[in-house]
Amino acid sequence: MRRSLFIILAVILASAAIIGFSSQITKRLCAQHLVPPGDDLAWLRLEFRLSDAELARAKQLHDGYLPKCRFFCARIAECKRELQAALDAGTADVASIERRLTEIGTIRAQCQTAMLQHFRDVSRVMPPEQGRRYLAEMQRLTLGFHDQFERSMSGNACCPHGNH
Amino acid sequence: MNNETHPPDDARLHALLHASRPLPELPAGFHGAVWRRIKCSPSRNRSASPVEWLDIAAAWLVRPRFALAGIAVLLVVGASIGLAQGNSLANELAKQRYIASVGPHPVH
Repeated sequence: MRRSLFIILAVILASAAIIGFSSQITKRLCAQHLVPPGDDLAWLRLEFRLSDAELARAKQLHDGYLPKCRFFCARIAECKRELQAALDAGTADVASIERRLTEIGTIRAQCQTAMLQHFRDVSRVMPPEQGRRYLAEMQRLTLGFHDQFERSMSGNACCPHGNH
Repeated sequence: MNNETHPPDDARLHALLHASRPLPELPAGFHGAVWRRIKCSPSRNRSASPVEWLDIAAAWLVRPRFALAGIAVLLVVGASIGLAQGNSLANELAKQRYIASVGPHPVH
């Protein structure tokens, strides 16, 4: 009786281990196969089923947009470093802090505008329905964070700027 | 060959046969004990208890042929689950990679 019970339990555990191991290995292999390293546009191909021509056009737009994105990111990082250094040194007055924060905000707005423009350009490369879906998803990702953040700060989900 | 036949009620023949193969005396209550054991013995048609089922299953599982077949089936099941999950994982990985590529900090 005890031996049989031990065998059954061992078989159940071994079965779970075999299924878990083989599913994990297959999942990784499948993901690696579908998303080759270095292919940044694999999501457009997988999710939106773009043709080769559409994908080539999207890649062209993507490559053209990247320098702009890097430029804005570098400027924002530089402004934040300067602001932090001034705050650490204790030399910054309120007016200069406000000026730097305004500058950062302006660059962020320019960055987001460029980003949204890029997403619109890419969406136009896609078939209409897929383009709408892509644009909605990218707008949700780029603008949704701020909505969520502002709602959490205001404590009122229906009126994001109610307390401002 | 001896073709002599004897009538079935030959008393002398019976006496001789009985004397050549003496039967031991049965102990007292022998017949009663036999019937009791027959009554109490488990029927061949009764269903096996859970413990017996456990023993039967364990005996099956340790047979190399069944063990190998079981491992093969489990590998196929695991691979199928992995394939189904691999598509969604690939989609998620690809999405994260794309978002990271269009802006290392898309929301700053």
